[in-house]
Amino acid sequence: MSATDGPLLEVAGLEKTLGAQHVLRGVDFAVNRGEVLAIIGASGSGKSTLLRCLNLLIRPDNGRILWQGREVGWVQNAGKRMPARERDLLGYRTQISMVFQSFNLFPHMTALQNVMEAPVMVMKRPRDEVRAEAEALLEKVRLSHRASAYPHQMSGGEQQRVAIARALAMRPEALLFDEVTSALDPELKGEVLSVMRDLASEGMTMVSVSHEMGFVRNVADRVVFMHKGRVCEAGDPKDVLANPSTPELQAFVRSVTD
Amino acid sequence: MNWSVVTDNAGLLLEAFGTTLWVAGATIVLSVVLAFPLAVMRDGPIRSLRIVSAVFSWVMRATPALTLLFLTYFGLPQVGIYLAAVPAAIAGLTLSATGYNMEYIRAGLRAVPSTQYEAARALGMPFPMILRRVIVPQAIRTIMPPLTSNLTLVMKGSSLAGMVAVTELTGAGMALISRTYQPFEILIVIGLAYLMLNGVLIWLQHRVENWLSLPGQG
Repeated sequence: MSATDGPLLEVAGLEKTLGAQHVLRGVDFAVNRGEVLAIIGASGSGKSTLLRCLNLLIRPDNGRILWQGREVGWVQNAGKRMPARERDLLGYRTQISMVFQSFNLFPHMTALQNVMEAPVMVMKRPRDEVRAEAEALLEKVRLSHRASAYPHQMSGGEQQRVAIARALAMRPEALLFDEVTSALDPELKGEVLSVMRDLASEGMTMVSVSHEMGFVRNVADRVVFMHKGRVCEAGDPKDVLANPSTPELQAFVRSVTD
Repeated sequence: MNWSVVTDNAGLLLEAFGTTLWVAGATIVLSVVLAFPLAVMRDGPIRSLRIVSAVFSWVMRATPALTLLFLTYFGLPQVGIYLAAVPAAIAGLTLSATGYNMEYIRAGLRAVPSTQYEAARALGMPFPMILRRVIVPQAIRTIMPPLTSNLTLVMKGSSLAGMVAVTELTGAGMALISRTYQPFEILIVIGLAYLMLNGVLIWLQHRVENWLSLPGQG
């Protein structure tokens, strides 16, 4: 049983040093079920690292991640707080799927095989059932006709939509998007953004690092502006982007609207 | 040319051919099978296993194959392990071949972008499944050409077994030459035999490469 009243995902005091870079310097925010949270910020502000900490692809050095009110990534062992073993994180990762900037489809599998891989291999669900669901997911991202195509035969926009279907195939509680349109030609961004808008309107919980200010303004329920490893400003995107209160966000908004 | 030296000794040569096939075949299979886990260990997450496989690779590649062969044939009995000539030869040749194979396999595994590991981890896959389902199927394309090339060397290198009383092709041929003084005919026949054995190996490589190729990607 999970707490339904608290936030779905909450982070507090998240810190990460990569090499000599203190990338995250104490990040706090929460995401409610059904909410679309956008993370914006200049490159190097720690957005992608933050996103990878959320599903523990990167282990934070410090701080807490609460999923449905329960801490993940750390275990109490003989009274000491220890990082959890990789294999104890796998179940959590299936609940919070990720879509990447560079798609990262498996090149030796067709679109349909990419979508079916994790439900069949990781979740051990029956292949026939998964196939039907995977076909439905490809239809949802408007790619039924590309089911048997390999990634190298598809456009970037198509690959990214397959990647979204692959993430959805895990039946996740939340989706993480890491600048998913940044590697796409301008005319291909729209088809990916429209799939994301559909998901948002269906009530999917989403955390999206994005440079698409139109998406942030119109689709996100809340925006978090990262600067030098900290949350510099947060709130309703329409307010925050129209009336930034910090000079850092004022400068950022100017730079992306010019 | 007088080919009667070949036809008169056909039985001996055929038997030697069979021995070469057996020694080289076993060495090839064993050395590939052993090299895979060592290659994974070499770049894996566990430090002690990384060191073990690095030392193995260094020793096996830096030591002459003949020395390894002598160690398994003459050396092991010193510590109470007695192997017949053929198993001792297979063991020595396998040690040497494994050291090289693991480096080709390792290079292929490293050629798969790290983003593929990341995507697989994000889907909740455990490490062994990531290797089996995602990394190895992609790496195998990179691994095949240099690995097969090394295996043709292993095939020819099986002639070293002749040095430890294994009657394989080259050894048998040399014995025959010193008895008959007809090197030319015998060497041609032996050369053709190696040509055929490695021809099969290279043919297999192409079969595997065709089987792995994706539509529209050559």
